[in-house]
Amino acid sequence: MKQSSRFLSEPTGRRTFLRLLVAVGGATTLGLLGLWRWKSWALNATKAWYYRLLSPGLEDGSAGMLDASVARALVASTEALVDSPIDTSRYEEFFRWRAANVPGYRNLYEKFAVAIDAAAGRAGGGDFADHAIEARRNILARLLPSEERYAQLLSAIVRADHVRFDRYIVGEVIELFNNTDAWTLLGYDGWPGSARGLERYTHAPSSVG
Amino acid sequence: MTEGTVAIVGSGIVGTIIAYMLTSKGYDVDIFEKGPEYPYPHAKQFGEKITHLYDAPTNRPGSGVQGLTVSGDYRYDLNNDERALVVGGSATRWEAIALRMGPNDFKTRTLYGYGDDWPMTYDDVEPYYGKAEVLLGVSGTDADNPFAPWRSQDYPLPPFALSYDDAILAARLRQQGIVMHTTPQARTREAYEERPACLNFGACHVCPIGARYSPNYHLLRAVQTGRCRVHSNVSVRRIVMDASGRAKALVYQPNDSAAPTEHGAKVIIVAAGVFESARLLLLSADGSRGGLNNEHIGKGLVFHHVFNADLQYKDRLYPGRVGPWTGQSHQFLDPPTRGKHGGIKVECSSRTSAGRVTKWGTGAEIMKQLQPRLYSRHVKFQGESTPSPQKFVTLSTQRDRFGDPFAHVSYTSNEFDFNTYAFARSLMDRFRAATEADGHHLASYDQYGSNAHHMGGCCMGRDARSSVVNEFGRYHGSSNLFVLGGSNFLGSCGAMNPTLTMAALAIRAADYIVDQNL
Repeated sequence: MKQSSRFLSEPTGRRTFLRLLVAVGGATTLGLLGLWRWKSWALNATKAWYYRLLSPGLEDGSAGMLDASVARALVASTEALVDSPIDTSRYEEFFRWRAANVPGYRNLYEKFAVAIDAAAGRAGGGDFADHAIEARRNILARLLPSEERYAQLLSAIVRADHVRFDRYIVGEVIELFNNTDAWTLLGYDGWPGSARGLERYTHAPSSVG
Repeated sequence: MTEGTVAIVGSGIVGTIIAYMLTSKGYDVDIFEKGPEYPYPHAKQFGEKITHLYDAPTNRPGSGVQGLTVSGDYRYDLNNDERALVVGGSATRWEAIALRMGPNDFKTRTLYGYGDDWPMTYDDVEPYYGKAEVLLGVSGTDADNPFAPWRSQDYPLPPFALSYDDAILAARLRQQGIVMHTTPQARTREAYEERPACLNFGACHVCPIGARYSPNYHLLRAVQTGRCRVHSNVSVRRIVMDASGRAKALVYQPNDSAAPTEHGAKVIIVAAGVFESARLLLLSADGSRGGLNNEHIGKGLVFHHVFNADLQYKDRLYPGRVGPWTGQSHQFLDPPTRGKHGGIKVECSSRTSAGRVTKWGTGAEIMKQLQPRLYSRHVKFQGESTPSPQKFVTLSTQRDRFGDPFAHVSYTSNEFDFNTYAFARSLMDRFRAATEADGHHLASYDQYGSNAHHMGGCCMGRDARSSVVNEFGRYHGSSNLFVLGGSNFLGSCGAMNPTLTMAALAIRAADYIVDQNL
């Protein structure tokens, strides 16, 4: 009989081998489980970090009155973003209310105004609001993150403020526009949120005749 | 320990109707509400949400107070989006569609072999439907709806006529034998009592003038009698029972306080919504004799299953010009195939879903994104559902700031639900063809919503072997504990919006409580 066979055939040796097998198998399984759990945890943590990066919250800052020059820059941006006939006083009121009532907005608006005026200065001088609509759009296009994910991620890492500009200023201007002036542009008599009365809704809008 | 005559947990539409009716008859009422005060009329909230796009955190309970965990296949936010824990409850922001169940909805087991028969008939509830319509100020007519159940009194207010776009679609549907009619709703077509006529703001979830009914309207009047006290920002943590099954007191705690307080009352009414009502009873179960140990608490949970659809047309419909929803069809509530699947209510929403700007750009680019709005119509297929063992409320492993488990909702669809979706798909095809739609999209099954129509959890029935409360909401085995609201429902009240039925049964229960307990 060969020595190895003799070894395995011995009861003590076999038991030891089995114990060793179970121990190694158990340790490997636990190790893999731990690795998998860590991987899941790591994956989830990375995902959470990624989404937080792409959707940063507002920074701390007290609410307060908006400076006239900041309001002017914001309204000028609005005109450029929607490039359509709008009632700018509504947007100015919106910005002023936000700055005065929601902490973090005044700070954000001020940073935005500084950023776009600086960009306007580099683009030919003067404040952002002094430029024509087309030029303002070009300035905004260079300032704001593009739509591609990698560009957004890069912006989020090196220029988090610009992601905030996109989310809290551009996004809200678009939402307000969608809810108000967009309706009249399409030929409606008014928009949800205004007192439209009950006399006209059963007929075609007055723009149709 | 404080004491009163009637204690009500929850200040939603059911709690406030009960409070209003009891204070009108001279009884004292204490209402305990987990959430904060909510100004009425909702002009402040209108300014915040509509004018300034701001969801104020003061319109919610503080952290650690409102919570829910969910498992199963329901994907939307039941905790935050589908309920409002504020004074006035979820009906502070409802769409106000006020519809009666049909007679056959009360006996689905007998007629179709599914669900359970209610322990009352449509005829029993009919007078209370009339009272509820008067109370809420419902504008409507049955003149254009051949599927409406019989009624003993007319609507208190005239209907909102079909909108321009709904009238166009209704004419096409009529040609194909499908009836689209006007929609009864708790909105003032004309000035009513102290509520002004609707001005068509169209931001109905925060109606700034009170045209769309809000429970705060009657809560204010109850408080003005001097007999109603509202305790807001408090959590009711337990119902205390004695050995005879009598509810002695409730234990409540202000949300920012470390100390609970007992409040005794002659009658205790739990009207805290489906999830919180079941939760409170489960928290209060202690296995003692006379305690809240009914094994059916939390069971019988069911939602409406609502499938959203968008249709596109070649012609300009100009949807969204009126806040009240005008067109819907009750033609498919009781089809010949009911039983294999549920009935479906088809409704044209006043909301627009197509044609929104998502990307800033030139004027031409902006208009291009907006244009689809003119040619679109958003339609909802609201389907009936049935309870099953996979639909229930229990206690969660997560806890609130007091250490009490939140509610856990387990909700998984069954074969009846999938068949109802197939029926919705067939109806969608009929609507598309009949209205000459150029394009359409019906959401996939897994995107079903509930329209915040949650029912069951403390179901009514004849005895404790199969139910939690009797037909008047009285807890089986107790003389003075009541659980009221949608939590009493057996099944999903057909495919009809539940709130008018909740209001009617609340009025009925109030009469019963006065007669039996006060």
